[in-house]
Amino acid sequence: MFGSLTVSDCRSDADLLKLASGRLDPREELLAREHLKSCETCARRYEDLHDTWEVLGEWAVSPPTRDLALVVAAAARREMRFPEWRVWLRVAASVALAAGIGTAAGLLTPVRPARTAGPVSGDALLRTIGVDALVEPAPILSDVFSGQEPAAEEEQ
Amino acid sequence: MARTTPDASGSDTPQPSDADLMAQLARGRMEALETLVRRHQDRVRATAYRLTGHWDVADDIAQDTFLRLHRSAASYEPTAALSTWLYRICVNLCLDRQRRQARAPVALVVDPGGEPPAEEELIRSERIAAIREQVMKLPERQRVAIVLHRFEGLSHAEISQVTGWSASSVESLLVRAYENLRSRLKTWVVSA
Repeated sequence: MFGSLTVSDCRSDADLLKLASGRLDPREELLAREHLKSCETCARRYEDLHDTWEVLGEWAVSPPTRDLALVVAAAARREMRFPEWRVWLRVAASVALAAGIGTAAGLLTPVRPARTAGPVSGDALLRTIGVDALVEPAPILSDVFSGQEPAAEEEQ
Repeated sequence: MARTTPDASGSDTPQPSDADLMAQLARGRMEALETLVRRHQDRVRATAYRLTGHWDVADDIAQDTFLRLHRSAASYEPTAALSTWLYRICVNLCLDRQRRQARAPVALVVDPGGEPPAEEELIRSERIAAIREQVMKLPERQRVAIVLHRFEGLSHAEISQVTGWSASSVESLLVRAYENLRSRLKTWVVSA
């Protein structure tokens, strides 16, 4: 702790910084300055910090003269009329409304019966594919059923 | 009990304290917001400018800072100085914006027109430009620490309150920041 330091104790950089920025109480400052008189190392470190502190002080800025008070107050009033949660509520309500309309439209539209295939008789199937499997293989399937390779017409 | 602060204009009329104004604002009195903005806008804008390097950005951030203040008025409890709260909002907004935008290095401001400056004034302008440039080049946390310490006059403990960094971190950041600036501004520091 800085408060327990004596004149002979070397100061940390943080303590020297407090000294340079005038943030030591008068008693601590007195002790620190006494120490600097007898300690060349601390004195040099302090000078470096102090010089940097001084040169930085030249960067003064003056904000533009524009008064933000009315602008901020107007924006705040707008926010009170249309607070953010209200905007989100509107968005949520719109989405819910759209979804509701979609669902209602789906429910109110007459549904056509699905076209499903009824039971198929064996005869009907055979008629459909043109094969009388009970009599003889259809010409197109004869090679498959005979287990022979199809004739290589391409080679001829 | 209503606390009061001295009038900045020097008149004898006691001015309502920040806490009083926040209480009024919580009750919907927009005049209180205007008073708070006028009272604090310069320091908020200056801080934002020193952290971002642009007045237009600084103005945006200052407006946003006060709007957030307005939104939080109802839940405000005067446990710390209002300025600490404003600095915290402002610094966070600056850092957020910089991380999002990663803007190009700051261009040096050229004073437009007017009489050509005398040699002494020219050297001073160059020195200020160099300071500005080197502060902007500091790592983010060092920059925040030095702006609050050197330019806004906050103590180590106050910087710790604003940023949420530990007191030892703040001290170490400040020491490194001053060392960095000392070495980068060597020419100016020695000849100052």
